Amino acid sequence: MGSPLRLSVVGPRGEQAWTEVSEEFDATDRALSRFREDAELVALDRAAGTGIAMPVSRRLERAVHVTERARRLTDGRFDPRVLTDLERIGERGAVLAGHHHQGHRSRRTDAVVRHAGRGYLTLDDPIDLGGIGKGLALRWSTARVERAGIHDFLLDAGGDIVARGRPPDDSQWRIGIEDPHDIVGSSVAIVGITDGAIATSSIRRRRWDHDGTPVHHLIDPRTGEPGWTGLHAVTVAGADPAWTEVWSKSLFLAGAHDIAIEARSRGLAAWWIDAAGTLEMTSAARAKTIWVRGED
Amino acid sequence: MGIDPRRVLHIGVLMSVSTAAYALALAGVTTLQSTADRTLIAARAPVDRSVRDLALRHDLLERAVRDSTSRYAEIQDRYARLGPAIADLESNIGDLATVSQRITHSAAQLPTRVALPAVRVAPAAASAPRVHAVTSASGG
Repeated sequence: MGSPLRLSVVGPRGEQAWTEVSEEFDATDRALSRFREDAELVALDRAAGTGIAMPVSRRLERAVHVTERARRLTDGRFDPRVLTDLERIGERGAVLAGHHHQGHRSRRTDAVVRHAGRGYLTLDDPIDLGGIGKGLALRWSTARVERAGIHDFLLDAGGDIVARGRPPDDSQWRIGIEDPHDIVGSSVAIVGITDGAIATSSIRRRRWDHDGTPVHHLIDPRTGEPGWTGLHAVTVAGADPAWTEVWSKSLFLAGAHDIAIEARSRGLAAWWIDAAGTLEMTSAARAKTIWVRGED
Repeated sequence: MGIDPRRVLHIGVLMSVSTAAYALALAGVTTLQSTADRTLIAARAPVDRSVRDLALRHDLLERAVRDSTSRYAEIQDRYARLGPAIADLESNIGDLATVSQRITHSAAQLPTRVALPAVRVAPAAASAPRVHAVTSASGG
């Protein structure tokens, strides 16, 4: 999925766990990547708008269904139909003939996918499953490792993390939240997790200039433009890595003004850092926080 | 003295019988000859096939030899072009060996112990607890 993978396992079966994780990430990458010519998603995206029902694997089918649910629950702030917008501002994947120059369609209320029966999907617009794809790969890898009878481990896919059981030196896994303003990426807070996941949406990385304008990868589906919301990073902890990914992006796009109300109304454990570098969090997040910079 | 008409008849019958016998003998001989020819042709058929196969293999072999000759010439040509590069490489290796000898000589002249000045260590400022991982910018 284009992210460095790191697995820490307590006990002697690290190699077996690594095999499970690598196999799952490879399989998910073949299904959900938009950067590989041989990926299923690329074929599906290329058929978007033609009305053709494409045969898809169970992984891709499930991923599309999760994104559709996420779109509904986030009121459209999470929507995978931002691929043409990403490509327009310079983040290109595999070539999708015929979709490059379409303008952004204003706020979408229609479903991501038109059903064509089990095992088949029809898209009207190409989609990007990058972020949620990584979350799903973490979800499926975790299930495989647990099925193998391994219960104490931490799996880190480029900043999206799943923790199970306990580390060898403590009662819970300690996860740092990166300071998006710090050039060396020191932690602004530390969170304790036993069985759960944590993900961050941030503009510290994956930002560049396009035609002289600074842009980044967090596209607001409602405008088709990078979301400059007054926030620099949002972290969400929860039970499932795919949904922490969904909520971190959705809260980021809610913006500095609305994030507190949005996160608290949904009972999310969320931390956010604004443009001034101020860290805020919900009460659910405070309960998981074991250290905050400046408060020690 | 006249000719006995019965003798003439006998002679005629005799000639007819002789002619018939000759015709029969000729037919028999012809039949035997054609049977022998068919047998001979059938016996020679595998030899003919083998000869044709041999000719085909010969052609293929000839083509392979031609290709090999062409490749050999091409490789020979490449090798000839590589010659100067190999000579340069050998020369560079020679230079490297000289430099290496000089480094070895210099290293041998270095002291085995160096006295360093004492270093004062200040206690570190309070920092964050150690973490097992850091959550940071992730995908889309």
